[in-house]
Amino acid sequence: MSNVSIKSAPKALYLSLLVIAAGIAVALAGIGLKFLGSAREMVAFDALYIAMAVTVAITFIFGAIRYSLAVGITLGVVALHDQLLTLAVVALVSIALPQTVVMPVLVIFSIVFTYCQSWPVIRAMHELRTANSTREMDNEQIATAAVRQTAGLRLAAVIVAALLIVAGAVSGNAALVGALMPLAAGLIVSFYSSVCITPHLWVLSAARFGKRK
Amino acid sequence: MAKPVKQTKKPINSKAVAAVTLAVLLVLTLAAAYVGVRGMNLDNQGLYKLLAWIPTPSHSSTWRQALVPGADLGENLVQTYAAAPVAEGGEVTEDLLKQTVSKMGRRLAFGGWNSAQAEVVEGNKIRLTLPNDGTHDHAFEMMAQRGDFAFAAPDGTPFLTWENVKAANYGLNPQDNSYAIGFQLDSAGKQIFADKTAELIGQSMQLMIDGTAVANPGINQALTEGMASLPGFNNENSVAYASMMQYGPLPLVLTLESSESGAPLFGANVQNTVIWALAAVVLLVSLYFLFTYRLGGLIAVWLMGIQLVAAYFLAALARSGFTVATLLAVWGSFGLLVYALLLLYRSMKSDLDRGRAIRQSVKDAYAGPGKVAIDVLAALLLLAVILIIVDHQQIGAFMRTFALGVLVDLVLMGIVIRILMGSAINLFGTNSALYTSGSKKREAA
Repeated sequence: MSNVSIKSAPKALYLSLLVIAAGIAVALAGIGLKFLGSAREMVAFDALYIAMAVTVAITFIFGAIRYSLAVGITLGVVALHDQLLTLAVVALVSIALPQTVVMPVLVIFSIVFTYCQSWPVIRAMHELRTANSTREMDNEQIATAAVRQTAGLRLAAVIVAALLIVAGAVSGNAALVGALMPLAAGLIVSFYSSVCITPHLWVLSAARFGKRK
Repeated sequence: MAKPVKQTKKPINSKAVAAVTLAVLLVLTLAAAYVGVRGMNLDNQGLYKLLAWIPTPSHSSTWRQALVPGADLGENLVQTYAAAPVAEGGEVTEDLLKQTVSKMGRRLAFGGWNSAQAEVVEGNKIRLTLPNDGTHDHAFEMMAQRGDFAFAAPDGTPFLTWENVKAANYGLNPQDNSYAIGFQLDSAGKQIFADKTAELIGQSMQLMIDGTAVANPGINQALTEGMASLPGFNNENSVAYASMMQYGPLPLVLTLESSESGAPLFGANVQNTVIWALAAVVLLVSLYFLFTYRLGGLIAVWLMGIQLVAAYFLAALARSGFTVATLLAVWGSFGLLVYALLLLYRSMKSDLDRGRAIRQSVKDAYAGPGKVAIDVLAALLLLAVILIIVDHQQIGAFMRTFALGVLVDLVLMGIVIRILMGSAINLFGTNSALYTSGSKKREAA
């Protein structure tokens, strides 16, 4: 596991921003975000975007009230990152695997994966910070330790979710595989962000907004 | 002087209490699972029955009446409509066809048929793929009407159209089993409606669809609140008329050309295959828990069983249907329970491996990782409730079923697991080897 560094935070986000930009580009160009038949006309995109905004807002508020402003900001930004990146990956992959009307539900559902992957990391960082002085462990060491400490649990969660997704995908035709693709995208994105994005964000927001308890 | 009487407190036999608790909960779980799979007659003649609600591959099971398969996972009804312009001399353009499909999609989602599909075929026709539930065939045809809604005076002069309707809904009136259509108007509509109903007191207004009066509700008083409920509809016309009020008329006129049965959108055998595939996942996860956590694993498997029985029951109660979205809600909440159990048990196992007592390990697991599990579930429940309020279409409908599943998870993780684990420890003892694999080897080492 690579060491967490404040300087490396933007680098981790570059890949995400690149994929998000590519997703937006192919969607606007009409190449990506493909749907089966006329399913695109049945999808209420305005409702999807509102639901995504509500998801990010509730995540931020819950984290800020339950833990701290730093945790709230970290969770909120990770939720925004994961939702946008999942949608972008869906836009790109749908070129080969067209989507169905259920796509918005699956994209919003990916917040479940974000919570399951990032929450234990944030909680572990929060607890380590509370238990150790900055002299004993700085924020970067805490972030690295938290990622390592929760790796087994996060991997087990990925395996269970992957088993359920595969069980669904092998049950039907190619259209069902395409329909379930946003779940697979959400799962991969959430695992990636829990390792490469969440710790960096927490280090940044703890340094900027955190206070020693 | 009399000697004080010694009051001896009878010690409670904790083992007996634990045994009774576990026995009662086991009987309740098995009974619920049995009824969930088989259904139950509520009278001798079988006129009233509790339908089965747990999906099984059996074709004789009644679960398909409780969880009606949607067009994606069940047999469907394929209707093909010819499209024509509204005005003579008009054209059926690609743009108008797209708009018609979009509006039909919204109407169908409004009625709760989230798995239904509308698409343009053969260049100028529209095909609807609908769940073959046998009770809404006429509603589907009505929803494909143009649906130009207006309120009109007794002489047929319209005074309010769908453009002034902010929101519409429909619902069952349990007193007479009829349906009512409710609506809320914008500020301009509110004023027009108040003035007109004041003018028509003692008379009736007409509810017009495509220029035809379909209802004549009487007016007893001026309706000044900008909202009202119109009773006297049935389950088919209420959803069709309310969806027309909400979304307005179709940009094209559709005429039914053909109606036939079709295979599920996701494959002919998808319904039974997905049931078997998901059962295989449950088996794998159960085996993992049993081998790794032994008695604790058995409790985990028990909780998973309760979760599935309860989540499917609530999904059936919410009339969610058997669709991909319902399966995601039920099995998503199942996955969350497994995740919460993993959080708890991994912490417990780690403590036991370090030689701590089982009671202390369980207590610490609740206080540490258990809180993460509760936090995740509570945040998801809050989010689901907010999305139910904010979204009245597909996402809100999904969140209703999902919220129920998460609520079950919270009850299981907050209350039931403590009862089961506490009782199991009281009854079977505190030997670490009972709760985690490899303890004896470590002890020997």
